[in-house]
Amino acid sequence: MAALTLRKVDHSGLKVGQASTIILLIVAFVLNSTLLVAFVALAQLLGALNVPFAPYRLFYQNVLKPSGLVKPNVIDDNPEPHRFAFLVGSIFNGVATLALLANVPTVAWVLVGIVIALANLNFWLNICVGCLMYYQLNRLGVPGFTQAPISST
Amino acid sequence: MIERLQIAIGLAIIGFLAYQLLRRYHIHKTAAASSHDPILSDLKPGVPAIIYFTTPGCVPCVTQQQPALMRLQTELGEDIQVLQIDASENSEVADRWGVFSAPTTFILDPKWQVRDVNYGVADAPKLIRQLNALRVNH
Repeated sequence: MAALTLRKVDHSGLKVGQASTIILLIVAFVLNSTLLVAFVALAQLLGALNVPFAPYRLFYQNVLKPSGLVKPNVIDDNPEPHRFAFLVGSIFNGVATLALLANVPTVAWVLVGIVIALANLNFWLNICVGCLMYYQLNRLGVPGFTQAPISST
Repeated sequence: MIERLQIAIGLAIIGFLAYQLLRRYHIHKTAAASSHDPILSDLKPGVPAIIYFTTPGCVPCVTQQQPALMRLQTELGEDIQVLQIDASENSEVADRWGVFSAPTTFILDPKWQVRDVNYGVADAPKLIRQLNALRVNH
């Protein structure tokens, strides 16, 4: 499928989302907090839906960016794969929340652990597994996955 | 809660150490064979090199790694040479160098011994730091 117009994506905003996810999920594990896992699932879902009141976005736009703690890193990119990655994380954390509510903590914390591992992979090494999944689904022609990988030419 | 905190810290330390060990093993393994690798035959001798593995579908390669390498070449000119390899077209080479993701960049000293490796995007300041470390070590 052909790529649509390339847009700008602030990768610092994405990094803030990944770092927040890692920290909050570790805190959730330490405190054994179902509520915090549910909050991360919701925050990721709102990030995936790209709503203006998504918690990670608000934190970055209103706290970190104005304070100069995090500088913008705007580059040409497709935002959809990153949103899809958020959605995958949200689903994992959503199922983990349900598992905690159903008193199946092992399953829940394994799922949370997977999200922490993938977020670390993305944060430290820029390897976005959700994005790789998105582009693979695009290659397979799955409806809704409209953005093709960016060409170097 | 303390027990869970200990588990979290323990896992973080294990993860960090495992990553560092993997990285050091990878550098050690490729360093032994890199200087004789036929892919380096086109490089100028005596000049540090960066071997950059990419794939056609690698988005961060196009949006981040290539601009970083271009910036590096602009800044360092003749003091650095970059060899770009398409890992999907040269899968044997990628296997030989232990490449499992793109982008991956190897830092080679003037004798073409592997001194460092970056999994994922390495920005220009990081690459410059790694190249400067070569000068310090020689």
